[in-house]
Amino acid sequence: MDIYKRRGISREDLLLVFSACLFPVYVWSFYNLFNQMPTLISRLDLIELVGAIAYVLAFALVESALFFLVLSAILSIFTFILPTKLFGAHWTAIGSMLAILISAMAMVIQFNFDQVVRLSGRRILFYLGLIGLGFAVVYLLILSFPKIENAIRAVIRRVSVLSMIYALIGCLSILIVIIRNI
Amino acid sequence: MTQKINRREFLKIAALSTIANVPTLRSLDRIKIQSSENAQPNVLIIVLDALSARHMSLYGYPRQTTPNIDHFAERSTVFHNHYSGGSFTTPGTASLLSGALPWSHHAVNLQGMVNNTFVPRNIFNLTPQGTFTTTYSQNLLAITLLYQFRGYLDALGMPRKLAIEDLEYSDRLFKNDYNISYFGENVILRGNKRVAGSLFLSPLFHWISPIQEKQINQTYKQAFPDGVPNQDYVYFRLEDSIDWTIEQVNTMQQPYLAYFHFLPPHGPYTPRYDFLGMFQDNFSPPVKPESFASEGFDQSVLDYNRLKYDQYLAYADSEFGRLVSAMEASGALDNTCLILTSDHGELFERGIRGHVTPVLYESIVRVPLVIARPGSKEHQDVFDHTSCIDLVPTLMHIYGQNIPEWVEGRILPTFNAPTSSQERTIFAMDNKGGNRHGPLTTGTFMSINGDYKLIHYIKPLGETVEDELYDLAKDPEELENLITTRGSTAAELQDQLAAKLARANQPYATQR
Repeated sequence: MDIYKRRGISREDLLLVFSACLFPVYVWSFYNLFNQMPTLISRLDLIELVGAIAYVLAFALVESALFFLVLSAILSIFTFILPTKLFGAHWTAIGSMLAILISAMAMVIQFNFDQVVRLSGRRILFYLGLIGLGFAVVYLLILSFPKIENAIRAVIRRVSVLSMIYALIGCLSILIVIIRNI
Repeated sequence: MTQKINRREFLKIAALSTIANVPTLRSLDRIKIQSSENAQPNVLIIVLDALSARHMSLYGYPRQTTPNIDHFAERSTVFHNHYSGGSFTTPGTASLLSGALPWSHHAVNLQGMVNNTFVPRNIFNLTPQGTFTTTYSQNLLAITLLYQFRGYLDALGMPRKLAIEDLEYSDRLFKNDYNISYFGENVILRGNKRVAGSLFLSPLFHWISPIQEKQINQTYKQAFPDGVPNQDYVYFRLEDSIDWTIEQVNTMQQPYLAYFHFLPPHGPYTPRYDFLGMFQDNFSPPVKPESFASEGFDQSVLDYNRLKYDQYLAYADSEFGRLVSAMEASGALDNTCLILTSDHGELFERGIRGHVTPVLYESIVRVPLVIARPGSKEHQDVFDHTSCIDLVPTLMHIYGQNIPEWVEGRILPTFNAPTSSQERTIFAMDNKGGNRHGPLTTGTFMSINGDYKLIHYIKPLGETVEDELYDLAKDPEELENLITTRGSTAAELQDQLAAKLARANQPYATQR
């Protein structure tokens, strides 16, 4: 925490990046829940349905937290090795964009899973290179254009309101899961 | 006798009953009645999943698929026209254990459960006081039902118990809430066509699971060259299950009612190496017309799958034979009623492979029922039409107890005064798209009365399909549809079915 403080990263910055991690994870969970809802409704009564949903949303909170921890760990490395001007000062925007891009990538992989697992090693390297290049472009854009960085921060700040609601639902879900397993 | 409970226990029970709505083992009041003065026999029900009577040499199949069951039948009562309640595990097993048809218990969907009214209406809750009730299932759909009934069980064996490997997580992490957590697990990990609720873990699961599967299959390659028997990433060897059953039979508290549900010959068909070369014969089943529900498999593919199924069945038969031999040797059969049956059949015709299909042809619904009474050495054949829902009233009869009013089955012939089944109609159904809490408005319904079998379709795949009528005595292969030529017979059966269905849907009338 001290290291973050020394590099000018506040608690709010951490919270915003956490929101950026939590938001896509929950959006994805809700998308899948709604997709599976007809199946669940035809099989479960209301209490059971709430229970099944609670497992999904509780897991989403855990997954978001793990995602955030892993992402923060990666960001921390760069925060250490790069000058504050090049990284620490743009931490929230870089972290948030990274969270969104990684999530988008995970979604693309899920939608095209069968094709992805059949990719050759060379193809995988090619796509990883492409993704790396994408990250680099985003990083340079944030570094070069303060307007872009501000826009990203503004969007993430708005998204964080929804994320906090999701987090609250996640906490409630964890409570339901605990009660069901007493 | 009153039992004090502390605050913690009270909170547990209150939380479970009000919020989770799940019973715990033996936590509910059982409606058991004292047993009769006669010594109560043990009852061991063995279910071999997806075992079609039409594929058993016991019932005249040209391939010698079941020599051990044939041998077992020499001392047993063999029911030659026995039918399951549904076309797959959930309705078939629920009917077997409740004595009611799917339109009553509503366990009709894949991974479905009985409706809340039917949770206490199961055979385990009806056993006389002091009966040790125990179950084990390798089938994940059957375990969903057994988990619902756990409040009436002394022991519930989850698939993991005898599995080589089990890539389920709910039964490990949420033992007190398996069913609902498994629904959650399915949304999180498995989803629909590999798109699932967990953004990061699901692809990892779908990537790693086949690698693990490959490793397991490699480890057991010598014994199972086609792969280790499995269902949804739970891997078994039937040998282990039979060894365990033999041990249970010899050590369980008596009298017991044990329900053991083993996966073979359910697909994937992975016979042990010593059964792989079997049936290299010239047997070719009659070619039947393509069904509206055809999956597009051509005859050579169906024949190949039939061969694999038959080999896998021979493997299951040999293991069942081992169980019977062990029980004979230990004298366990002298005081045990051993029942062999299945939850549904399997189909390799009309472009369809397996049983996830809306059709209800004989191969799908005709299942074996072989009952060896304690110490019996006599063989009996029963040709009357019987149904899986008859097992509960028959066991009630054996236990000397009254049959509850919800039971739709009858006491099996030869267990009481002999009755003719000519006036009886047998029903089975498939309603995978049905609702556990609503009326059944679509699906496939079968009724058999005398020689005639009606298959009635109510938009099974969303479209209207013409009903089918067969004369099973003259046309056991169901090749000639008599729906137009025997219109009056068809209309009679259709009317009877419609009236029955309307009565079954009555409780849900206000919901429509």
